[in-house]
Amino acid sequence: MRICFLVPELGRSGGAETIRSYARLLEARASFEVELIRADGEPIPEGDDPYDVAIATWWGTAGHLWRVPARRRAVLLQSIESRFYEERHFFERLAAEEVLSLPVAFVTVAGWMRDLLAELRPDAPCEMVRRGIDKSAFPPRQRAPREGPLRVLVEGQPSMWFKGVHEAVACVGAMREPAELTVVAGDPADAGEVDGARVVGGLDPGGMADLYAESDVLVKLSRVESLGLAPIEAAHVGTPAVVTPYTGHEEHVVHGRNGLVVGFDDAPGTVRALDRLARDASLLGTLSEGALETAREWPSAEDAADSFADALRAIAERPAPDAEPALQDLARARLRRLELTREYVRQSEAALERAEGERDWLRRALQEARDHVEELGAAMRGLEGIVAQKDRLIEDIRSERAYRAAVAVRRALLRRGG
Amino acid sequence: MTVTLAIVAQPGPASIAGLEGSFPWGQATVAWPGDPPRADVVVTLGEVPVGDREPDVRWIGDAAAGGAPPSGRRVIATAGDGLWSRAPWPVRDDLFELDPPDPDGALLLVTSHEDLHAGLIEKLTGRGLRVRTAPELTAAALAGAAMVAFPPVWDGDPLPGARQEAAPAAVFAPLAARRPVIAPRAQLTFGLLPGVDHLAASTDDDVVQYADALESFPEAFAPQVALGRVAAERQRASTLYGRLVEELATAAPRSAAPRG
Repeated sequence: MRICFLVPELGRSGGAETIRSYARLLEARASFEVELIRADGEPIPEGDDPYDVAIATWWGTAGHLWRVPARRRAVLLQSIESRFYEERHFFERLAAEEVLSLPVAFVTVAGWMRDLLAELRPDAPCEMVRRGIDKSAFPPRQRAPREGPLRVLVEGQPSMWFKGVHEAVACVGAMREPAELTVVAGDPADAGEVDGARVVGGLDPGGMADLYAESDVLVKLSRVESLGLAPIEAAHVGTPAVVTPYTGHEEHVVHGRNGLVVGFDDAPGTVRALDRLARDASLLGTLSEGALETAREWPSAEDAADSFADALRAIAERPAPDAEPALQDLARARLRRLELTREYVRQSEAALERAEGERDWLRRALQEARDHVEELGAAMRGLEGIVAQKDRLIEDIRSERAYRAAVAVRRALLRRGG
Repeated sequence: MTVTLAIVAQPGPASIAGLEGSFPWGQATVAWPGDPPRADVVVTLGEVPVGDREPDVRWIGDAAAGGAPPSGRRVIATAGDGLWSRAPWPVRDDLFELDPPDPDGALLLVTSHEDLHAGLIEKLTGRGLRVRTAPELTAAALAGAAMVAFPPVWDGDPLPGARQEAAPAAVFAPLAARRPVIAPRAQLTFGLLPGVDHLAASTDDDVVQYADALESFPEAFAPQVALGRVAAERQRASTLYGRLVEELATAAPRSAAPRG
């Protein structure tokens, strides 16, 4: 089977590693021929020989699916990508949403996304393949009984708003029990200020496994994830996790069995959970055993590649998706985009009008202040004239003979009295 | 672990944040204020009396925001100082099974500030929108609603884009019931993503425009509704009360005390 992945620039994210892993493991199979095609502004190579399946891997690459010859087209949906964007990135968010309306097959990495697609696009073929773990890089480790401060590892890129790294660091800092904090980031050079934490990063899988094993607990307070790879990797070496319910967590983390789930924005509850783990070695041990047990059931990278290969074969064998329901969904998406854009523009105009009003007020206030300063300056100059006139008057008095005589008499009287 | 949990609440809060039945972690019942609850763990929804027993947890909802610190050993609220936890209310499991909204249903405007929002109501009805108001969200009111709005509350002139401190405590209930939600833009959203799983408003005009769009094109907002339900799943009552019971049953007393 001949396939291609349309990819953006692949960084160090878990999503990029998933693509690399599938490409590498499928290429190693005799029945697959795999190409990675950059589709983020680079010219896409032309060719007449159609791929069996062309796979977009990010919303920005999905529009290029029809620029490569292919018998079937699919999207590897590693997240509902509109969730990555804050309100101010309005247009990117809408564009990311529209991927869900395309006439393609989908491969999701978690059950919640498969269920969501079943609701929104019941017509669209959808396969679910969980990302596997390289079991040779993350073998189970023997854990010594814990002593000393709780060793807390926070995973995530601090500069990404939805990773919750700063919130996690603040919670560790607010613990009553002693703790040692390490932050591991994909790009530590871009981590910025992280108070009181050792920041490490750029580690290979073996280095990550060592880091997990050196930690008592992994903390991940992300607001958005599709699956959350780090807690799964950590579980493989027996390190439990404290996580927010970022979606995808439910595929792996079971509260009280292999980790603890804490609420979003609940700093007091998160601090309490960490203090519990610091005080209760038995609880930490139970969660560690639970993590290892869950990890044993998790698919390996090879298992996942097999499932991904099966999914691609199924997509290739099925008829191409019917375009009509997709077009209907696109029409609804267009309406939504129109209404939301209209409102976005109105809100932006209201904010602009308000800002212009404030600017005009400040300009008037500045002019009034300048006028006032000018008035004060004139008054000051008047006062300086009066003071100079007084100084001259004093000098005149001092230069008079009667004044000098009076001063001499006073001095004489003082000497006689002293 | 088999624990009995009593949730003491007025009928309104109980209908959206209560829980009854058997679960892997134990048995939950709802008790009315004043009835002495017989249970291992007692949780109140809001500031309600519980006979002569101090409840294990007071899940206040919005009341702590900006007001005097509520009394109690363990207080959960959406905002405030000295909280044991900061969280909105759970969502009663039944609400996930509520019938889909009637497209001809009204907009439910949840406000206990009718005077403050009189102008908003006038604007909404002036647009031809069907509006019902309620001082608090209840399951009965939710069942008849096509969509739900929690309008922003400001002391003075609302600023475009301004954020309140926290999302309303009841915000997840309509999301669980597949009702589109307009909620105040907030600093603490408890995992909600504005524009993705709900529509965030800072001013009355924002509410009016969004309500108009939702009523005119309900099908176009299916992704928000579906993602809202995904978000609400995290607040499922049987899950959250289960975690609470587990912590109270196993945590050392020292760790259960609020931080001074």
